[in-house]
Amino acid sequence: MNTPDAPCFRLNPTVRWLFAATLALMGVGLLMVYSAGMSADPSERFVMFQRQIVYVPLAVGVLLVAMRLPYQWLNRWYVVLGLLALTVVLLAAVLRFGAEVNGARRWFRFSLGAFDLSVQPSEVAKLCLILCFAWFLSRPGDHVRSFLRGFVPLAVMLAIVCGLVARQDLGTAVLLGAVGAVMMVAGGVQLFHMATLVPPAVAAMYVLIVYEPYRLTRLMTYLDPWKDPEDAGYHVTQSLMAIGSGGWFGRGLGHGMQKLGHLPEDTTDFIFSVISEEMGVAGAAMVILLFAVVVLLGLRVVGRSDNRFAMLTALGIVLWIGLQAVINIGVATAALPTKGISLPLVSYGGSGLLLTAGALGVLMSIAARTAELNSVGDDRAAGTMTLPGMRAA
Amino acid sequence: MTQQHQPAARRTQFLLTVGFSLVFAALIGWLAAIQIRSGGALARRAERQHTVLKTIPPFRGHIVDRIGRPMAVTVDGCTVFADPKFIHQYGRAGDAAEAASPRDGAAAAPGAALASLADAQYVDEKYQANRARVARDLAPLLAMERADIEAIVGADPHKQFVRLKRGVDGATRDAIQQLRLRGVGFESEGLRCYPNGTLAAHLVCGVGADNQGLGALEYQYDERLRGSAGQRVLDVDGRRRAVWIRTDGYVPARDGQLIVTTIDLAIQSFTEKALAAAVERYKARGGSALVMDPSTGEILALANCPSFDPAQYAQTDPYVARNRLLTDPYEPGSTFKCFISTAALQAGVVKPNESIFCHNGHVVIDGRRMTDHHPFGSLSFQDVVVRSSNIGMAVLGKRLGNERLHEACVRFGFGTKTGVTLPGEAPGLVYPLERWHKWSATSIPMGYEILVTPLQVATAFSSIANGGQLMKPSITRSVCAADGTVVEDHSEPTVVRRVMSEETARYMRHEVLHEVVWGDHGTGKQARIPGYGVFGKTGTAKKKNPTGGGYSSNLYVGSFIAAAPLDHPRVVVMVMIDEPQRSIAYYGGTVAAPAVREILAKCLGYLHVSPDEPARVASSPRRPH
Repeated sequence: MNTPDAPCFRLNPTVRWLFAATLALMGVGLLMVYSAGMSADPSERFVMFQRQIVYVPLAVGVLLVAMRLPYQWLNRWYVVLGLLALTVVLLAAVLRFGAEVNGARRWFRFSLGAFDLSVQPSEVAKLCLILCFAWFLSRPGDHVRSFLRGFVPLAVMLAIVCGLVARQDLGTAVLLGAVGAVMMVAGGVQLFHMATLVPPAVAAMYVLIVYEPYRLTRLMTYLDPWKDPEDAGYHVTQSLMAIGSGGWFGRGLGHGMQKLGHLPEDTTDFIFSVISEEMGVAGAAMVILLFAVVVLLGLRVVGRSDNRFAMLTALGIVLWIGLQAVINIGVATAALPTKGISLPLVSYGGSGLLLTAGALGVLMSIAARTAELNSVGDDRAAGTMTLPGMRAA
Repeated sequence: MTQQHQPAARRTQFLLTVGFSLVFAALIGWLAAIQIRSGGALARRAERQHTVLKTIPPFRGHIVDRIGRPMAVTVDGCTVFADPKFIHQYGRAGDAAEAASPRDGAAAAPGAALASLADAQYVDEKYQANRARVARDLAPLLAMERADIEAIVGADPHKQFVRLKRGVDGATRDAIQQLRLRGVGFESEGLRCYPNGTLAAHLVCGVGADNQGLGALEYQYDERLRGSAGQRVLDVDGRRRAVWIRTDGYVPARDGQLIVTTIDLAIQSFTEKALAAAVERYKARGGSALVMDPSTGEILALANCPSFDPAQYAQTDPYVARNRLLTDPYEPGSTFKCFISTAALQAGVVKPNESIFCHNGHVVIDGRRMTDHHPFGSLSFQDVVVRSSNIGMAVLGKRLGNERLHEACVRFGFGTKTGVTLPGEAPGLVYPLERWHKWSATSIPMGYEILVTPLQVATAFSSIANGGQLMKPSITRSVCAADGTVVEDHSEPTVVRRVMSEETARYMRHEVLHEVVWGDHGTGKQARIPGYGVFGKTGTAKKKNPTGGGYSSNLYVGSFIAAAPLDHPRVVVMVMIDEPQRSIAYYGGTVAAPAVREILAKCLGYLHVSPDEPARVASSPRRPH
């Protein structure tokens, strides 16, 4: 039994399964980015894939490095505050200097020789916010229960980051808000303190919708996407047509038609629709189950964690991945209003994929250094896979 | 620390595990619900969106003459079209954002994509420059104005298909392809060609923009010539570009059938030349000529002058474009005398060599004053026809009486369509008996008060030539499938009825109509061909006054119909000259007979017909040609 203060690294079953599910999702992603890259014009084919084939190994590398590094290194005030400052600066800067795509400034573009790298600061913001909250909420003492010393700093931090993100990307802001709020509750902030957040959040949403009329259109479209399938409802209806074309078992890998210029954002926000068309409900359910494996194993790490920082960090990461997947799939299936949000690990994207992999690396780092998870592996013969959901005898 | 937070962590794990499990299960359920509720409808909608039915145009069948020389053929051609939207986008090819995310362009509403562009002004200029370049390069090749092309392309920059020109031939297409213009494309289609120009124009008549037959054979056999379009199913991407051709739903085009006509283009050619020369010489409004094989009723040549370019059929003046040989009935005048005299002889109301008193050129019959162009006393029956005496014919008409006269007209096929397979044939007009009046019996024998088409005259004349059988005139020998196998055989001649005995026909040829050409007083002396027993009949008919009642004093139709050789005539040639200048000449024997002689002589040579009157060859001062 390792002491909580100096837990040693072990590739316990939880880590292995997490790693396997993560790799599987990235593999599905790579496959579907390749498939969706088909085009009638040879010069347009597989543009995204050519980058993704580089990003995926990079992401696996980042994941492996993050897993080996002790997560406790992140539990330092200078690391956390530094990250927070970096996030705020990046978020503010992107609004001014970012490249504009489809009317929104969300990316920084760097050109590294022949290779274009896009960095989305809101992706950085997600991980930083989670670490900040985990650090703040896990500091020793009773300040969390206090309104002024506990609730207010967190609420202000959340408001600043969400506010900056919301300027261009409401979906991510909502995601961040949800992750932050759940972390606060799990971290011990009083519920009636939390309740004071509701009126300003509602007011902020109202203002954002009023000032950006396209958001109202999106909401109306959500209610009836078939009302205007050529314009406002275009994305959703095309996505539904892809899902409908797929049927139960799909048209077969590579046989999708919707990805050929009918379905927009087919490598990013609507890659789930491509999966549905080519692999059917069966394949889509497999992807959902893979996410379920990641989320439920992550929650297992949360439940068995040795300390509050580990628990809150793991919780934040799980919420991030899980909620983002749910929102993306919900949008693609018209269960939620349209949001420009990608499917973690699967969608094409450089910075998003690297940061998601890094976050999962941190989660695995925690899992690999959690005494209770490691002890489960001790009971089993080495080399045999153990179902991670099984409790220790 | 561990013990402190454990219960809370477990509780969080439990709550969120339950929550996420429910949400994930709900998502899978929701997917299944979409599939069950509307999966089929969605799939069909997607299918409609990404499939395009492309028709494959069939090749229009060819029309050839009796030995396979082309009259109307279909060659490989195309429609040239432009893609204004593409030309537009090509104009801003340097725009990095557009090149980097081509898919977005298709996804976003066109208007929004344009509006979001940083520098719309710049784009517009590039577009115009590109449009101008396309117009500049295409204009000379398509024989169009640059401004017109620019206007067509620029009308709506969001369109992806505008026709620039149809019916462009293969050579021009290749030349345009060499230019490698982006945003200009081709749609293959058959291009109707008339390799002989104006030759036999009235038989083919041209096609419309969609290759539909407009007149004559092109119209008559449109369904056979047209074939049936095939189709293929294309899967297209969001910009309607073909991704691949599906193997299901492919129906090959069936090309149109081949029409083999009875026309001989060689005969057609010299017939048209002779006709045109006659029309030119007598400054006539127009003229028509017909060459028929009397034994089968096959039309060997059919010409109207002036002719026209079949490719311009739709724009041609109706008088020129009409096949007047069968659409325009006229009062035949003296030509008709040969039929009535034949009927009189057949009926026995007159005997060969019988003498008929012609009242010295002036007589009043049934209260009407009749005259001859020359005063005759007594004329033999033959001479009544040979010298074309109106009074003599009136006498024959009175002898026949209304009923037999009417029956004769009908038996010779007048007043009903001949049934030739060409559109627009007029039946002519033979008044029913109850509408006949007291002068009818004297007017009809000299070719008035009756409307006939030249085709009917030639067909009726053929019955005299072939020994008494009225044939159904034919223009088609066979209809063949695109691969050449015969689908319908029309080469078997059709006898309508016998209209006279062999003896009567022989007598008419040898003793009467032969004399018209060879006799000292014959009206058709100009049609003599040394060595051949040419026989025929002239006709000079007054035309109705175009402005009022009665007959015009200077509008005539001069015609001549003849055949040779005497015993077994091979060809019947009819020429009619419409409205020759009265001051030059207007008698059929003058304006039409020389043209008939030329056509007949060339036909006999072309058909290798041996001279049948060796005595006359010896006496002839010169060979016919």
